[in-house]
Amino acid sequence: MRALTFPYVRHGGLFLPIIPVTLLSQSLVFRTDAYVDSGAFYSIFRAEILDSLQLRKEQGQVKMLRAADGKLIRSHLFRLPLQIGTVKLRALVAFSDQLHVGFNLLGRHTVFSSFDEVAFNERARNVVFRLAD
Amino acid sequence: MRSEARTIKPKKTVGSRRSRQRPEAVRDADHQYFASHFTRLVRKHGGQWIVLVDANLIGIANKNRLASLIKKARAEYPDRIPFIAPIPTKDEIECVL
Repeated sequence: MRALTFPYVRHGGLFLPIIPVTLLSQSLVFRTDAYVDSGAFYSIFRAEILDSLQLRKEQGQVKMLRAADGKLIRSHLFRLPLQIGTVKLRALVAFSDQLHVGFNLLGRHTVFSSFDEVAFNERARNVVFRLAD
Repeated sequence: MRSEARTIKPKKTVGSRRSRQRPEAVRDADHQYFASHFTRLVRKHGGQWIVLVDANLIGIANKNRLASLIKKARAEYPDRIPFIAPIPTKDEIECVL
């Protein structure tokens, strides 16, 4: 069993499950941070990142997603190679400029399911991704 | 009088599956920089973007200047992978919670 452990990021009295993620396109690679959101089905990244990957919105599948406040937001879905720690996976990632949360969000679809367990340890203040060998 | 009380020795515990797992704390210099400066970044630069390479700050800018920062990072560190992240505002942090 492998376990990737990410300490929470502290902001005042708040501790946030923000982890580093590597994103790849055909020619470019870069790293960013994402908030691990077990309440989100899709991973939703900021649209500006598409430009950084030199991908055009039109290349993705248009998808209307319902946000927590009930509003529909327009997004573009891409299946991209993504790396969390040392684990590489192909994830379905939505990009949108209408989600005003200030974070990239790492949702459950194709990300959580790539691991055997994703555990939020509130006392230890870390999030652990477990994967059987 | 012989005491009936007996000391019960605890059974030997075999390491559980979880305790046998290989710990793999993830180290990332850029993420460490972002995490350790997070509160200050939110306070001073919320709503902007940060670009780092190997914990060296390339710059902080609005989204319309992000492309030039990335270009600068790739020019200065052609063999390294840049770190590009949005900096949330205080309100956005409360919103996601």
